[in-house]
Amino acid sequence: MPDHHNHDLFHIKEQLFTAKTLYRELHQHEPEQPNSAKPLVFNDLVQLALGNPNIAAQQVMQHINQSLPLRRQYMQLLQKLAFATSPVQAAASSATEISSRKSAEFELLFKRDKQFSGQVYVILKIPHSIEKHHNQGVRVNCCSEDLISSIHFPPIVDGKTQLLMEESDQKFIHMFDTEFAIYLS
Amino acid sequence: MSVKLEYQRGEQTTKLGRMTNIINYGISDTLKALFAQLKDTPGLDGYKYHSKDVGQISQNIVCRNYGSVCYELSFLCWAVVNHPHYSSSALLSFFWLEENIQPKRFRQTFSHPIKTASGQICMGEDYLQLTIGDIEFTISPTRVGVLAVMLELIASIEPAQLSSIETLLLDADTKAIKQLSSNFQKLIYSYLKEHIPEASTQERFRAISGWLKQHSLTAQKLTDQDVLNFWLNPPAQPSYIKYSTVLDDLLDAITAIEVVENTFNGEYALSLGSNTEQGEVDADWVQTTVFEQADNTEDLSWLCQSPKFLTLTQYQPMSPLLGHGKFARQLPLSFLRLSIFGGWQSVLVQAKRKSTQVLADKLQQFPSRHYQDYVAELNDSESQCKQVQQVIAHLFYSLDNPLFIGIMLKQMPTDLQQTLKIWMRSQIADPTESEANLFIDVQQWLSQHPKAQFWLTEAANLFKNNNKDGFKKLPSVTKLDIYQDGSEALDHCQELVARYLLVITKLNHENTQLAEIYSSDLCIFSNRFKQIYGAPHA
Repeated sequence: MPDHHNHDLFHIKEQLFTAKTLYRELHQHEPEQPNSAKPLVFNDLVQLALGNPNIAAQQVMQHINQSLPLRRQYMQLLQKLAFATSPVQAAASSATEISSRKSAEFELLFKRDKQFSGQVYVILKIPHSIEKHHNQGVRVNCCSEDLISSIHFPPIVDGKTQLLMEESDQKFIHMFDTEFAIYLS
Repeated sequence: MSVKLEYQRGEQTTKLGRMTNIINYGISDTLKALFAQLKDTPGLDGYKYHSKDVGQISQNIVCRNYGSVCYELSFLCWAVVNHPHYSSSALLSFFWLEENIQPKRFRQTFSHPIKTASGQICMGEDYLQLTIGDIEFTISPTRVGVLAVMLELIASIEPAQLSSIETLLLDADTKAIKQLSSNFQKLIYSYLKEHIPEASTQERFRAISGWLKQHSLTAQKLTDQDVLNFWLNPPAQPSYIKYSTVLDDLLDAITAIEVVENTFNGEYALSLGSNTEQGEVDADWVQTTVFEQADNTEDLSWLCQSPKFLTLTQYQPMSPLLGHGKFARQLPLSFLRLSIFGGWQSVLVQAKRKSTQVLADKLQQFPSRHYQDYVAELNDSESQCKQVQQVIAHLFYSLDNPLFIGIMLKQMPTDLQQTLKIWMRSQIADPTESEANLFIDVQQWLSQHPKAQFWLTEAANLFKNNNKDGFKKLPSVTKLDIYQDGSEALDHCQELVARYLLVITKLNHENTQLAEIYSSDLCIFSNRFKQIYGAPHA
């Protein structure tokens, strides 16, 4: 049998071996792989922007904040998919903090807890909410140039929902920072 | 240049010397994690993609056989982009927001014929028919799930693709579709270049095939002792450390050799090749041969997804047997060793990552499981397969689906099966009996037999107590296909495990052999592990 024939057969065998080996390795179960090492697929960003409660929001958000391209993509999706938005606001004074945010679709405000200092009730009012907000709650995304934070509010009842937060919580601060745009999903 | 198998992985690289290296993966962790995430990513209801569809695309990827998928996807994208329902972001809406990726939803979306500036779209009985200029193309609704996985992969590699696809395809002709298909292929090709270095697998194949030749071994001749000998005295390069890799590589290589020699026996391989100068054959042929024709590349892990037929704990003991088919029976000890000592080696590898002290402690201990434990796990898995099939029979029975008969006939106690089969034969022989009547008659027959009633009640109770995803309530009739697939897959698992267990029972006929082999193996593996991981400078 000619040499080149054997050579060809060898390569075909090698191709079959390679295909099977690669498939096996591609799907090998690796429990030691930490969650943070898992890359995102495009759908994860879409589901987070849609406020799907089944998404591992914290983990996905962590990824987004570590990568500028991901942040840009996520912002683009929010712009397309958000239920309501409140843009970055021109500061009324030198202070960038405000006590409420309003748009045509929602109002976000907070009240300090009289009994426990340092705690605040953040109230979100959506007069014309959609069915999803009654079943799944509302996700509030706060977006600046360098950082996006995201927080989930319980389902809307009678046009509003609220959350008890620490005043020092960065997520609380972002919601009332004029340099952060707000997107509701 | 020879490429060593031991890849460096982040900080866990092997400062500890060559003998302690363990990883020999050709695929990047990123690509592996990406495929894991494709299976896990959520949709509007449960997982977005079916594991089977992700598996299908990964087969295309590892065989480098993605050309035709890209071509098909490009036509599908054309149909979506030119659908008048979408004024903007058509792909985002169709594939992500509306998730029209199940056959039923896909059919609904295209239920009305569409005439666009450059062609026509029409849903036929079996296919979506596209007419663009003088080109006709059909897409099956059952393919959309797979094509959606491909688009997700592309969008995840380069998200900007979505808007460029839309720009390219709007009102476009087939030239643009072909252009898009070529763009997709280039994108995937360059991505894979970074994530699948094939030199490593090629070196492994050369090493193993050389070793097999040297020892005059063929698929028929290979024994458990040969596998053990290879692991104890592997070729110098590349370095084989993990027992599981040794077993997988040996069996994958010997299968590849056997298949090619049977196929090309006495013929010129050239006749099949599309790129014969490099000895490469058609990628489609590779994929079909490795994944569809072989009885030993069964990846049924989708049984653990949704519906959840099995838990991972129930599936995993069967996984190596499914992956190597007939070899499981030919090499019974190798699979016992894989489970117990291969498992123990993973414990050592993890200990090594923690610290030298933890590793030293582990090396002094013994595996926590014995061969009998693996046998017990397989017995559990087998009986679980049986139980779940009984539950599936209950689903079909409750939904008045005639497929119930087939599922039930395999699962009922043998004497009852026999009686029913004899009765059914006489019914079928009756020319006045129609298929619909037969089902009603079978139901009546069952109601008259207390033993059958008992079995059906048992099935109903098993269903009631099964709280896993997909079994909490009766599924809708449109979703029964996957349960039928599940039943077939479980039947296959059950048979394979039963046959393997039979070999083990024969081997252990005096009930002492397994324990004896274990003691001897414990000594062999402990010594080798100490040699690999316990050297003073390791």
